[in-house]
Amino acid sequence: MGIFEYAFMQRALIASIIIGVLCSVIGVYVVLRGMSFIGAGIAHASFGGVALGYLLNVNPLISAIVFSVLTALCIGKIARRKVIKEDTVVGIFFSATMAFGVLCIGLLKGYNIDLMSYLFGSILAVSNEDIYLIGGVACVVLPCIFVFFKELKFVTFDPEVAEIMGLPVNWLYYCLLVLISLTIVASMKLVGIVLASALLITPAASAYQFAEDFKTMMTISVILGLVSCIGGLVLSYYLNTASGATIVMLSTTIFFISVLFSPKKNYIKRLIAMIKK
Amino acid sequence: MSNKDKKEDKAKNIIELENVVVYLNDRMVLEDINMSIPYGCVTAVIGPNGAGKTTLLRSILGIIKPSSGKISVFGKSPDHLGKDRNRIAYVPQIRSVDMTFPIRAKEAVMMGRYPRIGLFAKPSKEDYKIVDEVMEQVDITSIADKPLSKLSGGQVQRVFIARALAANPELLFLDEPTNGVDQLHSSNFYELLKVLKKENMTIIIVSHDVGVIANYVDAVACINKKLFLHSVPKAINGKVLSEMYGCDAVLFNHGEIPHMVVCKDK
Ligand SMILES: Nc1ncnc2c1ncn2[C@@H]1O[C@H](COP(=O)(O)OP(=O)(O)OP(=O)(O)O)[C@@H](O)[C@H]1O
Ligand SMILES: [Mg+2]
Repeated sequence: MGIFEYAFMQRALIASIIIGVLCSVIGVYVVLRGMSFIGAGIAHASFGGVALGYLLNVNPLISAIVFSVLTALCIGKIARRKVIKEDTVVGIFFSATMAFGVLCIGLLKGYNIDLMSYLFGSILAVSNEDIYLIGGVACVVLPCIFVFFKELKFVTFDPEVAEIMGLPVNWLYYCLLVLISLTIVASMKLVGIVLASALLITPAASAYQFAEDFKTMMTISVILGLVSCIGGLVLSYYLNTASGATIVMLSTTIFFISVLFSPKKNYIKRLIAMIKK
Repeated sequence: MSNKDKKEDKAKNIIELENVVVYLNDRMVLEDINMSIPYGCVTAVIGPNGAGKTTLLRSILGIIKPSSGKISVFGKSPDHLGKDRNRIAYVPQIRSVDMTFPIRAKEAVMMGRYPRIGLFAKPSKEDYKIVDEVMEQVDITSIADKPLSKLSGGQVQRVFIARALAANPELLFLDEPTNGVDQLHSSNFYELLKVLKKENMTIIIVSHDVGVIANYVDAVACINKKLFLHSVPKAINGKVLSEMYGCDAVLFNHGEIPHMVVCKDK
């Protein structure tokens, strides 16, 4: 494995593994609860956080975490009231936080931020410090999922009955929003703000094509997430392409193959039947 | 909860509604409902479509807030039940759940145990035993390993009944539980009601099988926006039914009716 002799590639590999697992685990809940748009909204909110970090001269990842967690909780709080529809709330925050980020950057006259690497990710951008942060996020997110596994499953499946029977549904919803925010910010350096939400959805969506029970979906999702992240990283090195985009394209390809071979959809069987006719 | 508290609790009614009025989108759906249901009472709620039966259940469950009046469940307000929610189970009428969710029948039934198992813990042998038992009771053992997406509507309905029973609740709400369930399994279910009653479960069941249900319950609540009658099943007569349904109702023949006067008349 010659390519992993370089320190930057080693860091990128560690980041890919952790992010692959994080995104595919959280993604299962995002896909099953239909929270894809919230995911995208939170990802864009983190851009506002990054810009604010530069303006206030603090670590942009830290400010991004604070900013996107708060935005996610705001979206959740307003959406729970059910006066305004969830996607409307997300749509408003989506653009508002982006606009806020652009304004912040405007205030930093003459300061040249490597914006592209935040928007679309870059393997070169993953520093040692980032690895600690990504690892730290994993140490929060994964134990949470482990501890609340059955509760999150029930709440994702049937929130109303779960609440009636005494599960803390609201609390678990906010908890999930925080976990999504943390995961997105952790993936930011590698795949970028714009592409992070894709990584959150695609492996889980592929797993959904095959799984007949919850644990299987989780397992397949993690495997596909890891294949996409590590495979995409290696590909991007050899093809000399952007890491984030390569990872997302690989994972999207896997998604289309999954749909094609999905036992739930039977496209191949139908195709063969059509040809035979 | 200490033993003494529990006794006092039992002495009172499990559910009480005082002058409850419910508006949904500025429309009055329930008007001035007064009723009380004692512990261990099996009550049928009947009435025409759109009468407010589901709304009544959801108000008692604390999902809908009444605009005036007072509801108490276990002597508490429905939105402050806290831990007591673990004593309740519910089979909703309209399932808002995603039927393509990757989950097997027995997994869905086990969910009924989750509130009892509590955080951090995994289902124990005892939990698996209870799940097996309730699956046996509603006859879904043979489809236990099938994913929900491959079950028929009536089978899914029985899975949800099993999930509610798995919780071993003290208070069980069933909103048209036999909807879509075949003859054999419906009558099987009604027999099961008797067993549950012996176990001292308090049950509120919404049903359109007016004739059948009367044989299995202690009390009937006839609802059409207002509460028309809340009494023992034999008190139902053609007059009440036609008043409630707003047209001439056929008087049904309910054969042997339990004569226990458990619920007081309104
Ligand atoms: N969210 C809502 N907003 C406004 N009106 C509603 C809402 N939900 C129900 N309603 C109205 O409230 C009335 C009572 O509805 P409910 O669902 O309680 O009836 P039901 O007795 O359960 O009927 P069914 O036998 O069809 O189940 C209906 O007239 C219905 O149109
Ligand atoms: Mg109803």
